[in-house]
Amino acid sequence: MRHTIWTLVLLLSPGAFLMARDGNLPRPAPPDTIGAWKLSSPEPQAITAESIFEYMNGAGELYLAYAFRGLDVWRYGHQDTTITVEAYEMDSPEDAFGVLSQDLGGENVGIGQESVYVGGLLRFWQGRWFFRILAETETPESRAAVLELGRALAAQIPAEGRRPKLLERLPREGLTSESIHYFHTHLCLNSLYFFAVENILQLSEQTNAVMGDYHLDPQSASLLIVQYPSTASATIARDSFRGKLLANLAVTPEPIELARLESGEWIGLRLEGCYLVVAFRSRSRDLCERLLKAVILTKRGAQQ
Amino acid sequence: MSDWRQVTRRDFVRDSALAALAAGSVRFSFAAEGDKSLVALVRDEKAIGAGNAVDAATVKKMVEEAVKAVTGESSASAAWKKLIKPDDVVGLVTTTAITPTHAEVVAAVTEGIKAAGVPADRIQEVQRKKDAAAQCTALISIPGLKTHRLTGIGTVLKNYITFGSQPARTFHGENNVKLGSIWLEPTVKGKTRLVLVDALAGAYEGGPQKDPKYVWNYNGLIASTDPVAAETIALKIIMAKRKAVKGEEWEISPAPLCVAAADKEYKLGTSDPAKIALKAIGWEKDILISA
Repeated sequence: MRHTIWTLVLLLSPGAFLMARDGNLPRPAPPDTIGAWKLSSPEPQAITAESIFEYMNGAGELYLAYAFRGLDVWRYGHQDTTITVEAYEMDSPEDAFGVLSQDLGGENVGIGQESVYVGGLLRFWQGRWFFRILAETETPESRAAVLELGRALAAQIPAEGRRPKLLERLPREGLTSESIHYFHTHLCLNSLYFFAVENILQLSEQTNAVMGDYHLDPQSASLLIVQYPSTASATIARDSFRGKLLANLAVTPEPIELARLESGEWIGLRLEGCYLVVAFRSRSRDLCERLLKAVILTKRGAQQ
Repeated sequence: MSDWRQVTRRDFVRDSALAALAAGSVRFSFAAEGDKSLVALVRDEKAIGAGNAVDAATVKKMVEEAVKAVTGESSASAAWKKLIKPDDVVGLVTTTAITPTHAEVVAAVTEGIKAAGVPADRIQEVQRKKDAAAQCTALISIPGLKTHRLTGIGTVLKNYITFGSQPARTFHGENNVKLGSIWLEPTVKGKTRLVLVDALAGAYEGGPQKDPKYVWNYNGLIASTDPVAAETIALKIIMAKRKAVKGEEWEISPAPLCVAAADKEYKLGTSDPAKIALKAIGWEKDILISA
Protein backbone atom coordinates (compact mmCIF):
# COMPACT_ATOMS: atom_id res chain seq x y z
CA MET A 1 0.00 0.00 0.00
CA ARG A 2 2.80 2.38 0.93
CA HIS A 3 4.50 1.69 -2.39
CA THR A 4 1.27 2.32 -4.28
CA ILE A 5 0.84 5.70 -2.64
CA TRP A 6 4.44 6.47 -3.24
CA THR A 7 4.17 5.59 -6.92
CA LEU A 8 1.26 8.01 -7.23
CA VAL A 9 3.31 10.71 -5.56
CA LEU A 10 6.08 10.12 -8.06
CA LEU A 11 3.78 10.24 -11.03
CA LEU A 12 2.28 13.52 -9.88
CA SER A 13 5.63 15.13 -9.09
CA PRO A 14 7.54 17.32 -11.54
CA GLY A 15 10.88 16.16 -12.90
CA ALA A 16 12.16 12.94 -14.34
CA PHE A 17 12.80 9.63 -12.64
CA LEU A 18 15.26 6.96 -13.52
CA MET A 19 14.49 3.31 -13.93
CA ALA A 20 15.11 1.20 -10.88
CA ARG A 21 18.13 -1.05 -10.78
CA ASP A 22 16.07 -4.07 -9.84
CA GLY A 23 12.44 -3.36 -10.60
CA ASN A 24 11.71 -1.77 -7.24
CA LEU A 25 11.12 1.92 -6.70
CA PRO A 26 12.54 4.34 -9.28
CA ARG A 27 15.85 6.02 -8.63
CA PRO A 28 15.69 9.73 -7.77
CA ALA A 29 16.86 12.30 -10.28
CA PRO A 30 17.66 15.97 -9.74
CA PRO A 31 16.05 18.83 -11.73
CA ASP A 32 17.59 20.16 -14.94
CA THR A 33 18.34 23.52 -13.36
CA ILE A 34 18.74 24.78 -9.87
CA GLY A 35 19.13 28.52 -9.44
CA ALA A 36 21.71 29.56 -12.02
CA TRP A 37 23.17 26.05 -12.26
CA LYS A 38 22.42 23.81 -15.19
CA LEU A 39 22.72 20.05 -15.35
CA SER A 40 25.48 19.00 -17.73
CA SER A 41 23.64 15.82 -18.67
CA PRO A 42 20.31 14.40 -17.50
CA GLU A 43 21.76 10.92 -17.64
CA PRO A 44 23.80 10.21 -14.54
CA GLN A 45 27.19 8.67 -14.48
CA ALA A 46 26.21 5.25 -13.16
CA ILE A 47 28.76 3.77 -10.79
CA THR A 48 28.71 0.14 -9.75
CA ALA A 49 30.50 -1.80 -7.04
CA GLU A 50 33.16 -2.53 -9.62
CA SER A 51 33.59 0.94 -11.10
CA ILE A 52 33.50 2.81 -7.78
CA PHE A 53 37.23 2.24 -7.43
CA GLU A 54 37.95 4.09 -10.63
CA TYR A 55 35.47 6.81 -9.73
CA MET A 56 37.15 7.39 -6.38
CA ASN A 57 40.73 7.15 -7.58
CA GLY A 58 41.09 3.61 -6.32
CA ALA A 59 39.17 4.11 -3.08
CA GLY A 60 35.66 2.77 -2.77
CA GLU A 61 35.85 0.47 0.21
CA LEU A 62 34.23 2.81 2.71
CA TYR A 63 31.02 2.52 0.68
CA LEU A 64 31.42 -1.14 -0.16
CA ALA A 65 31.85 -1.79 3.56
CA TYR A 66 28.12 -1.18 3.71
CA ALA A 67 25.53 -2.93 1.53
CA PHE A 68 26.11 -0.78 -1.58
CA ARG A 69 23.87 -1.20 -4.63
CA GLY A 70 24.94 1.63 -6.89
CA LEU A 71 25.78 5.30 -7.25
CA ASP A 72 24.44 7.92 -9.65
CA VAL A 73 26.45 11.09 -10.24
CA TRP A 74 25.32 14.33 -11.84
CA ARG A 75 27.20 17.57 -12.35
CA TYR A 76 25.87 21.10 -12.57
CA GLY A 77 27.78 24.02 -13.98
CA HIS A 78 27.57 27.77 -13.54
CA GLN A 79 30.49 30.05 -14.29
CA ASP A 80 33.47 28.52 -12.47
CA THR A 81 31.54 26.63 -9.82
CA THR A 82 30.61 23.00 -10.21
CA ILE A 83 28.03 21.27 -8.07
CA THR A 84 28.35 17.50 -7.92
CA VAL A 85 25.40 15.38 -6.84
CA GLU A 86 26.02 11.82 -5.69
CA ALA A 87 23.13 9.49 -4.88
CA TYR A 88 24.22 6.27 -3.19
CA GLU A 89 21.69 3.46 -3.09
CA MET A 90 22.18 1.07 -0.20
CA ASP A 91 20.37 -2.12 0.71
CA SER A 92 18.86 -0.71 3.88
CA PRO A 93 18.11 2.56 5.66
CA GLU A 94 20.43 1.42 8.43
CA ASP A 95 23.34 1.30 6.04
CA ALA A 96 22.37 4.64 4.48
CA PHE A 97 22.60 6.09 7.98
CA GLY A 98 25.82 4.17 8.49
CA VAL A 99 27.49 5.91 5.57
CA LEU A 100 26.39 9.29 6.90
CA SER A 101 27.61 8.34 10.36
CA GLN A 102 31.16 8.09 9.11
CA ASP A 103 31.08 11.79 9.91
CA LEU A 104 28.11 13.46 11.58
CA GLY A 105 29.86 16.78 12.15
CA GLY A 106 28.15 19.80 10.64
CA GLU A 107 25.05 21.94 10.58
CA ASN A 108 21.72 20.14 10.69
CA VAL A 109 19.81 21.69 7.81
CA GLY A 110 16.69 19.57 8.17
CA ILE A 111 16.92 17.76 4.87
CA GLY A 112 16.03 14.10 4.54
CA GLN A 113 15.89 11.99 7.66
CA GLU A 114 19.18 13.41 8.92
CA SER A 115 21.55 15.89 7.34
CA VAL A 116 24.79 17.75 7.88
CA TYR A 117 26.10 20.71 5.92
CA VAL A 118 29.49 22.40 6.07
CA GLY A 119 31.29 24.65 3.62
CA GLY A 120 29.42 23.72 0.46
CA LEU A 121 29.00 20.03 1.24
CA LEU A 122 25.57 18.60 2.10
CA ARG A 123 25.31 14.99 3.23
CA PHE A 124 22.04 13.31 4.20
CA TRP A 125 20.15 10.05 4.21
CA GLN A 126 16.58 9.30 3.29
CA GLY A 127 15.22 5.77 3.18
CA ARG A 128 17.97 3.56 1.88
CA TRP A 129 19.65 6.41 0.03
CA PHE A 130 22.64 8.45 1.05
CA PHE A 131 23.28 11.72 -0.76
CA ARG A 132 26.40 13.81 -1.04
CA ILE A 133 26.09 17.19 -2.77
CA LEU A 134 29.20 19.35 -3.08
CA ALA A 135 29.64 22.87 -4.41
CA GLU A 136 33.31 23.32 -5.19
CA THR A 137 33.12 26.91 -4.01
CA GLU A 138 30.73 27.96 -1.30
CA THR A 139 28.87 31.20 -1.85
CA PRO A 140 25.43 32.21 -0.59
CA GLU A 141 24.09 31.25 -4.02
CA SER A 142 25.80 27.87 -4.17
CA ARG A 143 24.72 27.07 -0.62
CA ALA A 144 21.12 27.82 -1.54
CA ALA A 145 21.42 25.68 -4.66
CA VAL A 146 22.94 22.75 -2.78
CA LEU A 147 20.22 22.82 -0.15
CA GLU A 148 17.49 23.14 -2.76
CA LEU A 149 18.90 20.16 -4.64
CA GLY A 150 18.88 18.21 -1.42
CA ARG A 151 15.25 19.04 -0.76
CA ALA A 152 14.29 18.15 -4.33
CA LEU A 153 15.96 14.75 -4.09
CA ALA A 154 14.68 13.97 -0.60
CA ALA A 155 11.14 14.72 -1.76
CA GLN A 156 11.38 11.91 -4.30
CA ILE A 157 12.06 9.20 -1.74
CA PRO A 158 9.80 7.90 0.99
CA ALA A 159 11.11 8.34 4.49
CA GLU A 160 11.43 4.80 5.70
CA GLY A 161 13.44 2.99 8.25
CA ARG A 162 15.27 4.68 11.06
CA ARG A 163 18.60 4.75 12.78
CA PRO A 164 19.92 1.27 13.63
CA LYS A 165 18.40 -0.01 16.85
CA LEU A 166 21.81 -0.94 18.15
CA LEU A 167 22.47 2.77 18.66
CA GLU A 168 19.92 2.70 21.45
CA ARG A 169 22.33 0.57 23.45
CA LEU A 170 24.74 3.47 23.77
CA PRO A 171 24.18 5.14 27.15
CA ARG A 172 22.88 8.68 26.65
CA GLU A 173 24.64 10.48 29.50
CA GLY A 174 27.73 12.28 28.25
CA LEU A 175 27.41 10.97 24.68
CA THR A 176 28.58 13.42 22.02
CA SER A 177 25.89 13.11 19.37
CA GLU A 178 28.11 13.85 16.39
CA SER A 179 30.63 11.20 17.44
CA ILE A 180 28.22 8.33 16.77
CA HIS A 181 29.19 5.76 14.14
CA TYR A 182 27.45 2.68 12.80
CA PHE A 183 29.40 0.15 10.76
CA HIS A 184 30.15 -3.50 10.17
CA THR A 185 33.75 -4.18 9.21
CA HIS A 186 37.31 -3.88 10.42
CA LEU A 187 38.08 -1.46 7.59
CA CYS A 188 35.52 0.99 8.93
CA LEU A 189 36.67 0.59 12.51
CA ASN A 190 40.23 1.12 11.38
CA SER A 191 39.22 4.35 9.64
CA LEU A 192 37.81 5.56 12.95
CA TYR A 193 40.14 4.15 15.58
CA PHE A 194 43.21 1.97 15.45
CA PHE A 195 43.25 -1.03 17.77
CA ALA A 196 45.42 -3.30 15.69
CA VAL A 197 46.48 -4.14 12.17
CA GLU A 198 44.85 -7.51 12.48
CA ASN A 199 41.07 -7.82 12.68
CA ILE A 200 41.26 -8.77 16.34
CA LEU A 201 37.57 -8.02 16.94
CA GLN A 202 36.58 -10.44 14.17
CA LEU A 203 34.39 -7.84 12.47
CA SER A 204 32.64 -8.72 9.22
CA GLU A 205 29.57 -8.00 7.13
CA GLN A 206 27.71 -10.15 9.64
CA THR A 207 28.52 -7.93 12.59
CA ASN A 208 26.86 -4.66 13.55
CA ALA A 209 28.83 -2.11 15.52
CA VAL A 210 28.20 1.29 17.06
CA MET A 211 30.70 3.64 18.57
CA GLY A 212 30.51 6.96 20.40
CA ASP A 213 32.55 9.39 22.45
CA TYR A 214 31.72 10.41 25.99
CA HIS A 215 32.65 13.52 27.88
CA LEU A 216 31.81 13.42 31.54
CA ASP A 217 33.91 16.18 33.06
CA PRO A 218 36.70 16.00 33.66
CA GLN A 219 37.02 12.63 31.97
CA SER A 220 36.40 11.28 28.50
CA ALA A 221 36.17 7.85 26.92
CA SER A 222 34.85 6.06 23.87
CA LEU A 223 32.52 3.11 23.75
CA LEU A 224 32.21 0.40 21.11
CA ILE A 225 29.38 -2.12 21.05
CA VAL A 226 29.59 -5.01 18.63
CA GLN A 227 26.71 -7.35 17.95
CA TYR A 228 27.86 -10.73 16.67
CA PRO A 229 25.77 -13.39 14.91
CA SER A 230 26.06 -15.66 17.94
CA THR A 231 27.30 -15.89 21.48
CA ALA A 232 30.03 -18.24 20.31
CA SER A 233 31.37 -15.76 17.76
CA ALA A 234 31.24 -12.96 20.32
CA THR A 235 33.24 -15.07 22.74
CA ILE A 236 35.83 -15.89 20.10
CA ALA A 237 36.16 -12.18 19.32
CA ARG A 238 36.53 -11.28 23.00
CA ASP A 239 39.24 -13.89 23.43
CA SER A 240 41.01 -12.68 20.31
CA PHE A 241 40.89 -9.05 21.43
CA ARG A 242 42.04 -9.89 24.94
CA GLY A 243 44.79 -12.16 23.70
CA LYS A 244 46.20 -9.75 21.17
CA LEU A 245 45.75 -6.40 22.82
CA LEU A 246 45.82 -7.12 26.53
CA ALA A 247 48.50 -9.81 26.63
CA ASN A 248 50.84 -9.55 29.60
CA LEU A 249 48.71 -6.93 31.29
CA ALA A 250 46.92 -7.23 34.59
CA VAL A 251 43.25 -7.65 33.71
CA THR A 252 40.44 -7.63 36.24
CA PRO A 253 38.20 -10.71 36.15
CA GLU A 254 34.92 -10.93 34.27
CA PRO A 255 32.30 -9.65 33.84
CA ILE A 256 33.99 -6.24 33.63
CA GLU A 257 37.54 -6.77 32.44
CA LEU A 258 39.74 -3.71 32.83
CA ALA A 259 43.37 -3.22 31.94
CA ARG A 260 45.76 -0.31 31.83
CA LEU A 261 47.97 0.03 28.77
CA GLU A 262 51.58 1.17 28.87
CA SER A 263 50.40 4.54 27.56
CA GLY A 264 48.36 5.04 30.72
CA GLU A 265 45.06 4.61 28.89
CA TRP A 266 42.46 2.20 30.23
CA ILE A 267 40.60 -0.38 28.19
CA GLY A 268 37.60 -2.30 29.43
CA LEU A 269 35.67 -5.27 28.07
CA ARG A 270 32.29 -6.73 28.76
CA LEU A 271 30.90 -9.78 27.05
CA GLU A 272 27.23 -10.59 27.30
CA GLY A 273 25.47 -12.96 24.95
CA CYS A 274 26.23 -11.97 21.40
CA TYR A 275 27.41 -8.52 22.43
CA LEU A 276 30.92 -7.38 23.13
CA VAL A 277 31.35 -3.92 24.64
CA VAL A 278 34.69 -2.13 24.69
CA ALA A 279 35.43 1.06 26.61
CA PHE A 280 38.64 2.75 25.51
CA ARG A 281 40.48 6.01 24.88
CA SER A 282 40.24 6.96 28.52
CA ARG A 283 42.51 7.98 31.35
CA SER A 284 39.84 7.00 33.83
CA ARG A 285 39.34 3.47 35.03
CA ASP A 286 36.18 4.57 36.78
CA LEU A 287 34.64 6.00 33.64
CA CYS A 288 35.45 2.87 31.64
CA GLU A 289 33.81 0.74 34.28
CA ARG A 290 30.83 3.04 34.58
CA LEU A 291 30.20 3.07 30.85
CA LEU A 292 30.54 -0.68 30.53
CA LYS A 293 28.00 -1.17 33.31
CA ALA A 294 25.65 1.44 31.84
CA VAL A 295 25.17 -0.45 28.57
CA ILE A 296 21.90 -2.32 28.69
CA LEU A 297 21.99 -5.48 26.64
CA THR A 298 19.17 -7.90 25.97
CA LYS A 299 19.35 -11.25 27.64
CA ARG A 300 18.22 -12.86 24.43
CA GLY A 301 21.29 -11.84 22.49
CA ALA A 302 20.73 -11.17 18.81
CA GLN A 303 16.99 -10.71 19.04
CA GLN A 304 16.17 -7.01 18.92
CA MET B 1 58.06 -7.57 6.03
CA SER B 2 58.47 -9.59 9.16
CA ASP B 3 55.48 -9.14 11.43
CA TRP B 4 53.65 -5.93 10.74
CA ARG B 5 50.35 -7.78 10.91
CA GLN B 6 50.96 -8.28 14.59
CA VAL B 7 51.18 -4.56 15.30
CA THR B 8 48.64 -3.36 17.81
CA ARG B 9 47.83 -0.04 19.35
CA ARG B 10 50.25 -0.80 22.17
CA ASP B 11 53.10 -1.34 19.72
CA PHE B 12 52.25 1.71 17.72
CA VAL B 13 52.14 3.95 20.75
CA ARG B 14 55.45 2.58 21.92
CA ASP B 15 56.76 3.02 18.35
CA SER B 16 58.80 -0.10 18.76
CA ALA B 17 57.29 -2.82 16.61
CA LEU B 18 58.11 -1.19 13.33
CA ALA B 19 61.69 -0.76 14.38
CA ALA B 20 61.98 -4.51 14.24
CA LEU B 21 60.85 -4.79 10.67
CA ALA B 22 63.15 -6.42 8.19
CA ALA B 23 65.63 -4.56 6.04
CA GLY B 24 67.50 -5.00 2.81
CA SER B 25 66.75 -2.75 -0.15
CA VAL B 26 67.94 0.38 -1.88
CA ARG B 27 68.55 3.77 -0.30
CA PHE B 28 68.44 6.73 -2.60
CA SER B 29 70.78 9.69 -2.58
CA PHE B 30 69.26 12.63 -0.76
CA ALA B 31 69.92 16.25 -0.12
CA ALA B 32 71.32 16.37 3.35
CA GLU B 33 72.56 18.70 6.01
CA GLY B 34 75.34 16.84 7.69
CA ASP B 35 74.02 13.36 8.18
CA LYS B 36 70.42 14.55 8.24
CA SER B 37 67.84 14.63 5.49
CA LEU B 38 66.98 18.20 4.62
CA VAL B 39 63.36 19.32 4.38
CA ALA B 40 62.50 22.88 3.39
CA LEU B 41 59.23 24.40 4.56
CA VAL B 42 58.44 27.59 2.69
CA ARG B 43 55.41 29.67 3.63
CA ASP B 44 54.03 33.01 2.49
CA GLU B 45 50.88 34.66 3.79
CA LYS B 46 50.23 36.17 0.34
CA ALA B 47 50.12 32.79 -1.40
CA ILE B 48 46.36 32.45 -0.97
CA GLY B 49 44.09 35.45 -0.78
CA ALA B 50 40.41 36.17 -0.52
CA GLY B 51 38.16 33.55 -2.04
CA ASN B 52 41.09 31.14 -2.05
CA ALA B 53 42.63 32.96 -5.01
CA VAL B 54 46.21 31.83 -5.49
CA ASP B 55 48.87 34.47 -6.11
CA ALA B 56 50.92 32.90 -8.90
CA ALA B 57 53.86 35.27 -8.50
CA THR B 58 54.14 34.51 -4.79
CA VAL B 59 53.89 30.78 -5.42
CA LYS B 60 56.64 31.02 -8.04
CA LYS B 61 58.92 32.67 -5.49
CA MET B 62 58.05 30.00 -2.93
CA VAL B 63 58.94 27.21 -5.35
CA GLU B 64 62.22 28.94 -6.10
CA GLU B 65 63.01 29.29 -2.39
CA ALA B 66 62.17 25.65 -1.85
CA VAL B 67 64.48 24.28 -4.53
CA LYS B 68 67.26 26.63 -3.49
CA ALA B 69 66.98 25.45 0.09
CA VAL B 70 66.90 21.78 -0.85
CA THR B 71 69.88 21.95 -3.17
CA GLY B 72 71.92 24.56 -1.33
CA GLU B 73 72.21 26.62 -4.50
CA SER B 74 71.95 30.38 -4.46
CA SER B 75 69.78 30.70 -7.55
CA ALA B 76 66.67 28.85 -8.63
CA SER B 77 68.15 28.21 -12.04
CA ALA B 78 71.20 26.53 -10.56
CA ALA B 79 68.98 24.59 -8.18
CA TRP B 80 66.85 23.16 -10.97
CA LYS B 81 69.97 22.28 -12.96
CA LYS B 82 71.16 20.31 -9.98
CA LEU B 83 67.90 18.39 -9.84
CA ILE B 84 67.18 17.92 -13.54
CA LYS B 85 69.45 17.32 -16.56
CA PRO B 86 68.67 18.74 -20.01
CA ASP B 87 68.27 15.27 -21.49
CA ASP B 88 65.78 14.14 -18.87
CA VAL B 89 62.24 13.16 -19.71
CA VAL B 90 60.35 14.62 -16.77
CA GLY B 91 57.08 13.44 -15.29
CA LEU B 92 55.09 15.61 -12.91
CA VAL B 93 53.04 13.58 -10.46
CA THR B 94 50.29 15.74 -9.06
CA THR B 95 47.25 15.10 -6.91
CA THR B 96 43.71 15.38 -8.22
CA ALA B 97 41.66 14.48 -5.16
CA ILE B 98 40.71 16.20 -1.88
CA THR B 99 43.42 18.87 -1.99
CA PRO B 100 44.40 18.98 -5.67
CA THR B 101 47.81 20.29 -6.58
CA HIS B 102 47.41 23.94 -7.49
CA ALA B 103 47.99 24.81 -11.14
CA GLU B 104 50.19 27.70 -10.02
CA VAL B 105 52.57 25.28 -8.31
CA VAL B 106 52.71 23.05 -11.37
CA ALA B 107 53.36 26.07 -13.58
CA ALA B 108 56.24 27.24 -11.39
CA VAL B 109 57.78 23.78 -11.37
CA THR B 110 57.41 23.45 -15.12
CA GLU B 111 59.08 26.79 -15.60
CA GLY B 112 61.97 25.71 -13.42
CA ILE B 113 62.44 22.48 -15.31
CA LYS B 114 62.45 24.37 -18.58
CA ALA B 115 65.08 26.66 -17.10
CA ALA B 116 67.18 23.57 -16.50
CA GLY B 117 67.18 23.03 -20.25
CA VAL B 118 64.38 20.51 -20.68
CA PRO B 119 62.11 21.36 -23.61
CA ALA B 120 58.38 21.56 -22.98
CA ASP B 121 57.65 18.46 -25.01
CA ARG B 122 59.68 16.39 -22.57
CA ILE B 123 57.73 17.55 -19.54
CA GLN B 124 54.37 15.97 -18.90
CA GLU B 125 51.81 15.25 -16.23
CA VAL B 126 51.90 11.50 -15.53
CA GLN B 127 49.56 10.90 -12.60
CA ARG B 128 47.50 7.77 -13.39
CA LYS B 129 49.52 7.32 -16.59
CA LYS B 130 51.75 4.42 -15.69
CA ASP B 131 53.13 3.89 -19.18
CA ALA B 132 54.06 7.54 -19.47
CA ALA B 133 55.72 7.47 -16.06
CA ALA B 134 57.70 4.43 -17.12
CA GLN B 135 59.13 6.42 -20.02
CA CYS B 136 60.34 9.21 -17.75
CA THR B 137 63.89 9.47 -16.52
CA ALA B 138 62.99 11.93 -13.78
CA LEU B 139 59.90 12.46 -11.64
CA ILE B 140 58.85 15.44 -9.59
CA SER B 141 56.21 14.41 -7.08
CA ILE B 142 53.84 17.26 -6.22
CA PRO B 143 51.16 15.84 -3.93
CA GLY B 144 48.58 17.78 -1.94
CA LEU B 145 48.81 17.74 1.85
CA LYS B 146 46.10 15.46 3.19
CA THR B 147 44.96 12.61 5.36
CA HIS B 148 43.09 9.64 3.99
CA ARG B 149 40.69 7.37 5.83
CA LEU B 150 42.01 4.37 3.95
CA THR B 151 45.75 4.96 4.30
CA GLY B 152 46.09 7.30 7.28
CA ILE B 153 48.15 9.92 5.55
CA GLY B 154 47.60 10.38 1.83
CA THR B 155 50.35 12.75 0.85
CA VAL B 156 53.80 11.65 -0.37
CA LEU B 157 53.97 7.86 -0.31
CA LYS B 158 50.43 7.42 -1.57
CA ASN B 159 51.01 9.78 -4.48
CA TYR B 160 52.51 6.90 -6.49
CA ILE B 161 49.71 4.47 -5.70
CA THR B 162 48.54 4.32 -9.32
CA PHE B 163 52.01 3.20 -10.39
CA GLY B 164 51.90 0.01 -8.37
CA SER B 165 51.64 -3.40 -9.98
CA GLN B 166 48.66 -4.10 -7.74
CA PRO B 167 45.34 -2.21 -7.49
CA ALA B 168 45.23 0.81 -5.20
CA ARG B 169 42.95 -0.99 -2.79
CA THR B 170 45.76 -3.42 -2.09
CA PHE B 171 47.32 -0.68 -0.01
CA HIS B 172 44.28 0.38 1.96
CA GLY B 173 43.48 -0.11 5.61
CA GLU B 174 46.27 -1.80 7.51
CA ASN B 175 47.98 -2.53 4.20
CA ASN B 176 49.01 1.11 3.97
CA VAL B 177 52.15 -0.21 5.61
CA LYS B 178 53.19 -1.46 2.16
CA LEU B 179 52.86 1.83 0.29
CA GLY B 180 56.63 2.26 0.25
CA SER B 181 56.97 -0.87 -1.88
CA ILE B 182 55.53 1.03 -4.85
CA TRP B 183 58.49 3.38 -4.79
CA LEU B 184 60.73 0.40 -5.55
CA GLU B 185 58.78 -0.68 -8.62
CA PRO B 186 60.55 -0.21 -11.97
CA THR B 187 58.12 2.48 -13.13
CA VAL B 188 59.35 4.91 -10.50
CA LYS B 189 62.34 3.43 -8.70
CA GLY B 190 65.19 5.87 -8.35
CA LYS B 191 63.54 8.49 -10.55
CA THR B 192 62.23 10.93 -7.97
CA ARG B 193 64.40 14.02 -8.00
CA LEU B 194 62.21 16.15 -5.79
CA VAL B 195 59.18 15.83 -3.59
CA LEU B 196 57.34 19.12 -3.39
CA VAL B 197 54.24 18.91 -1.22
CA ASP B 198 51.64 21.49 -2.15
CA ALA B 199 50.63 22.59 1.33
CA LEU B 200 49.02 25.85 0.23
CA ALA B 201 45.90 24.11 1.48
CA GLY B 202 45.77 20.94 3.50
CA ALA B 203 43.17 18.44 4.67
CA TYR B 204 43.71 17.35 8.25
CA GLU B 205 40.96 14.73 8.28
CA GLY B 206 38.84 12.76 5.86
CA GLY B 207 39.46 11.33 2.44
CA PRO B 208 39.04 9.77 -0.06
CA GLN B 209 36.44 12.44 -0.78
CA LYS B 210 36.79 16.11 -0.11
CA ASP B 211 35.10 17.50 2.97
CA PRO B 212 35.49 21.28 3.12
CA LYS B 213 35.25 21.40 6.89
CA TYR B 214 38.64 19.74 7.20
CA VAL B 215 40.48 21.84 4.63
CA TRP B 216 42.56 24.78 5.79
CA ASN B 217 44.91 27.21 4.13
CA TYR B 218 48.42 26.58 5.34
CA ASN B 219 50.13 28.69 2.67
CA GLY B 220 53.11 26.38 2.52
CA LEU B 221 55.29 24.14 0.40
CA ILE B 222 57.30 21.22 1.79
CA ALA B 223 60.31 20.21 -0.28
CA SER B 224 62.86 17.44 0.02
CA THR B 225 64.67 14.83 -1.98
CA ASP B 226 63.90 12.40 0.83
CA PRO B 227 60.27 11.32 0.38
CA VAL B 228 60.01 9.83 3.85
CA ALA B 229 61.40 12.90 5.54
CA ALA B 230 58.95 15.05 3.56
CA GLU B 231 56.10 12.73 4.59
CA THR B 232 57.24 12.83 8.20
CA ILE B 233 57.12 16.61 8.25
CA ALA B 234 53.76 16.59 6.46
CA LEU B 235 52.44 14.19 9.07
CA LYS B 236 53.73 16.32 11.94
CA ILE B 237 52.01 19.38 10.51
CA ILE B 238 48.75 17.48 10.10
CA MET B 239 48.96 16.09 13.62
CA ALA B 240 49.65 19.54 15.02
CA LYS B 241 46.69 20.93 13.13
CA ARG B 242 44.45 18.16 14.46
CA LYS B 243 45.58 18.89 18.00
CA ALA B 244 44.99 22.61 17.50
CA VAL B 245 41.48 21.97 16.22
CA LYS B 246 40.46 19.43 18.84
CA GLY B 247 42.38 20.82 21.79
CA GLU B 248 43.90 17.42 22.49
CA GLU B 249 45.81 14.70 20.70
CA TRP B 250 43.74 13.45 17.77
CA GLU B 251 45.19 10.35 16.25
CA ILE B 252 44.84 9.45 12.62
CA SER B 253 43.02 6.25 11.70
CA PRO B 254 44.04 4.01 10.14
CA ALA B 255 47.42 4.37 11.75
CA PRO B 256 49.85 5.69 9.11
CA LEU B 257 52.14 2.71 9.45
CA CYS B 258 53.46 3.43 5.97
CA VAL B 259 55.74 6.23 7.14
CA ALA B 260 57.90 4.21 9.51
CA ALA B 261 57.78 1.21 7.18
CA ALA B 262 59.03 3.32 4.26
CA ASP B 263 62.07 4.00 6.40
CA LYS B 264 62.67 0.72 8.21
CA GLU B 265 61.43 -1.73 5.62
CA TYR B 266 61.83 -0.08 2.25
CA LYS B 267 64.79 2.18 3.02
CA LEU B 268 63.33 5.10 1.12
CA GLY B 269 64.48 7.73 3.57
CA THR B 270 64.20 8.66 7.19
CA SER B 271 61.15 8.95 9.40
CA ASP B 272 63.22 9.76 12.47
CA PRO B 273 62.72 13.43 13.37
CA ALA B 274 66.18 13.43 14.92
CA LYS B 275 67.60 12.68 11.47
CA ILE B 276 65.68 15.40 9.67
CA ALA B 277 66.94 18.97 9.35
CA LEU B 278 63.90 21.20 8.87
CA LYS B 279 64.62 24.54 7.27
CA ALA B 280 61.66 26.87 7.69
CA ILE B 281 61.55 29.89 5.40
CA GLY B 282 59.10 32.76 5.41
CA TRP B 283 55.81 33.25 7.19
CA GLU B 284 55.82 31.85 10.73
CA LYS B 285 52.26 32.43 11.89
CA ASP B 286 50.43 29.17 12.60
CA ILE B 287 53.39 27.21 11.26
CA LEU B 288 52.47 24.32 13.60
CA ILE B 289 55.99 22.92 13.60
CA SER B 290 59.34 24.12 14.84
CA ALA B 291 62.59 23.89 12.92
